[in-house]
Amino acid sequence: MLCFQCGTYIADCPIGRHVEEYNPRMIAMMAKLGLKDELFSGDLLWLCTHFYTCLERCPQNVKLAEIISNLRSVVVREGFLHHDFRKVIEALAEHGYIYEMTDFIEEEREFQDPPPVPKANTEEIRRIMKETGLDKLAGIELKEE
Amino acid sequence: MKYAFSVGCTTLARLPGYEISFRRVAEALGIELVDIEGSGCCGTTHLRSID
Repeated sequence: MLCFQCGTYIADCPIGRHVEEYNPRMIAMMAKLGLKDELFSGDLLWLCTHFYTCLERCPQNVKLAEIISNLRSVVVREGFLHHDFRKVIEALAEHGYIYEMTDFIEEEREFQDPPPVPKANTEEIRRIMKETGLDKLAGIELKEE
Repeated sequence: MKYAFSVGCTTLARLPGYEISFRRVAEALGIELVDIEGSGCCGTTHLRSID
């Protein structure tokens, strides 16, 4: 393992700046020590939003955000998906976007002149989810239109 | 010159300036942007975490 626990990356981490309990060094340590249950059960692993500032700052070129991604994949395969991520997948199936495109967003766009929010082909998205098994993996029911 | 264009969702919802400036730059460079019908979000940072 390349990490020597310097913590340089955290100074520029947008999550670390606002969430006091977010300490990715804990993730690295827990993974190294094999503390699977502790790591899988909390929010810690799911707070990273992939700004990738850690990749730019790390003096040892540890790709922390990538490690977090990979750890999440392992966790999901073992049947645990954080409820916030389940909501994101549900939103994607329902709206075709990971956020709901609200009236506010529409109004904002009208004001600034780009064309209206494109209507996503949600039927196609749901079909992809079904064929790739994402719906089962996430434990969600896909509504038929 | 024509390019297919999909704005995605984060730019759409949170960073409208990116889209506006891109459309204007493309126009200035003589690039025609064709909005892809039915395109939505790729869900990348979230979905690649649970691949």
